Amino acid sequence: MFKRLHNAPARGRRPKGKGWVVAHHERENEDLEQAELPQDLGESTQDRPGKPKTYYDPIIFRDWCKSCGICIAFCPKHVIGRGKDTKPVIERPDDCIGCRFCELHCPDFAITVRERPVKGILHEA
Amino acid sequence: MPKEVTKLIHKYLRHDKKFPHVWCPGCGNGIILGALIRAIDDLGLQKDEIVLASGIGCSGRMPVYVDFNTLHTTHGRALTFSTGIKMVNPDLTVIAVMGDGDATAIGGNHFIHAARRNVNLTALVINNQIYGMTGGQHSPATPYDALSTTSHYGHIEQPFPIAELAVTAGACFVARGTVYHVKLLESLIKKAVKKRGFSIVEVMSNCHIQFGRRNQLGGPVEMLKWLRSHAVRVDKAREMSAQDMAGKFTIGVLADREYPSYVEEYERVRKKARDSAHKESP
Repeated sequence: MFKRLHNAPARGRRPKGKGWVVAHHERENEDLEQAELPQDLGESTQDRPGKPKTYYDPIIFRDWCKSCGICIAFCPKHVIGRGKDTKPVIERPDDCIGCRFCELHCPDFAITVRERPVKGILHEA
Repeated sequence: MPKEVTKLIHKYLRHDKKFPHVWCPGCGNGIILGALIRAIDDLGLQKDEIVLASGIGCSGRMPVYVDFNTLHTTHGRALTFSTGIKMVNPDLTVIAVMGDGDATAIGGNHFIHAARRNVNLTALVINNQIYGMTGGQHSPATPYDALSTTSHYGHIEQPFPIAELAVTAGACFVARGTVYHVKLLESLIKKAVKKRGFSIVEVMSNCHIQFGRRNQLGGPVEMLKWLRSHAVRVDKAREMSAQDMAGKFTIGVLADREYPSYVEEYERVRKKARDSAHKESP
């Protein structure tokens, strides 16, 4: 039942910084300009052309967030990245598939995933 | 449109309390509280029909934040107080939240006897494998060779398998979930609350501050990944050899059976006693 994780930071040699999670800090350096954003949001980007793509807006309540990093690490589409204050920021809202992993796993109830009512228009939080 | 989960949770929270809650960043207790609230909302229970009792420990803070009938009891006695509530008012849905030390060490006696008596309660045992709030002492669920403040050179005892203990003690419904498998946990809590008789859900949780840090298991993300890789579904575990299962634990429903519950039996005996008293009196 119990095995030590070998690639975890060793005792006493934990990397400096406020955030506990270090596995995904490299994402900060990822060039955001390189990320592919759908240019024409009205057009379907899904495999099934008949069905229009549903967009979602993950919204973070920054006052309740304790920047544990669960949402950043587990997001399947890397929608959420880490901001300068170690709290998560939504980097690519258009990539969100609405799986609600972040919403279900947020220990502080600080994320909500809202379906975007009008396609192609960003929902104001 | 699917329900907005966080909005739903906010409906059940006490907003006069101080938020964000006291638990450490990434603590599994918050995830479990969310799953519990969603399960209760899905069952369509009213806030006033539910009693949430807790003992002492990190999990003891859970009833503080939710707007049910709540009770913060003495250490290890969440089940005893819950039994009392259930006997006085059997219409209430009583849920007792306990930690692993609270349930199996300080309240170990009450735990096995509540299971044996089959009182119609739901017990939610949060197993983070350590005493988190008091400073990281080893608990009955701490694994062999783990480090804690009271086992500096490795723990020399074997842990309690809490769910299996409850099966043997005679609980009606026994299940185990993890904080990683939230949807499964939600359905298990739902089944447990609906079940007549003593039902227990053991939740494997992460304590990266007291347990993970001392044992070099990493932060919350690494511990959730650890839970993901070490949990095996019950039906899959049956086909696996003991060697493959070494170091892992099963998740899912471990026991689901029917016994007459204590409250019903007690009513039956009371009626019998009353009838016989009527016959005897002239």
